[in-house]
Amino acid sequence: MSIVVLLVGGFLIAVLLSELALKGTKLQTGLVKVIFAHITVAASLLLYLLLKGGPGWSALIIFWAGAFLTWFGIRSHMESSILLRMLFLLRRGSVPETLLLEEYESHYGEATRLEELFRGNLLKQTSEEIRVTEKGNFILRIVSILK
Amino acid sequence: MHSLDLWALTTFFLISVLFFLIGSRPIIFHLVCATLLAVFVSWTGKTLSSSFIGEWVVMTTGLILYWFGLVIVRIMLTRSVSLHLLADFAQGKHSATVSEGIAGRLKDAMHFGLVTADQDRYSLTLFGKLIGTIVAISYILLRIK
Repeated sequence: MSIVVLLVGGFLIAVLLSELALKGTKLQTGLVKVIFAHITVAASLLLYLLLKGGPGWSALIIFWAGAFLTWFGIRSHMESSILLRMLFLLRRGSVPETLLLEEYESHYGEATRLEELFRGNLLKQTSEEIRVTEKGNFILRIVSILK
Repeated sequence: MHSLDLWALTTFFLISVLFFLIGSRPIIFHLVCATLLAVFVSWTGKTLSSSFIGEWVVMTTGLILYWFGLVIVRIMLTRSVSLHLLADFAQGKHSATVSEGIAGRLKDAMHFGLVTADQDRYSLTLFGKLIGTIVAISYILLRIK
């Protein structure tokens, strides 16, 4: 079988399994399940290629890294993008700014975002204040390198 | 290891290193990535045997997707309202990051010609309606609430 068909087909199966594993939950929330689905399919294909004795393992690693990163970025952007959500809300017709912002806030405002940061173990509540955890600081360090 | 593997893995490694080194200069990142890809395609394409065409296509596609994916990830990390909120807590200040971020996206939508403002009311342009429909279909397909 052509390696193109093998890898593209395998990747599509991994995406399908990821969507089934997510069951409508947010990508960041179900990231472990998604990574598990991708590793399972990619490792099976890698094993198949190694047993076959041909080249292609490096093609698999490079293709999978690129395709996963692109899929993850687009999928995550689709569900988190404020701009896209606004377009979705505006489909019903003309809306005043305050109402639009209120509607967005009620969908994914500060309270929901804080809740997610706590759930993701990036923030913690101490007796006096809200603090950033070590994991949170690590992520902020990476972001500062990339800025 | 075949020389094609070596070339592809080296390009992959260089793009990865560049991503962390380049910082807030995306144009340089795009220029260097485009150059690396061009060198990879032209150099390996010259001596490519027919039995490795499949690997070559997959590797080139993978490298382009990797470049594109890294760009998306950088945009996500630098523009994320939630991460700005986290950074505010790290600096011990709590400003109006979230509402500012949300209001800022409305301005972006106008800048990109997706939304028009009539007095205080906002509505979609034709282009905005097209993108809005695609978004609505994607929300259904991906079960995004």
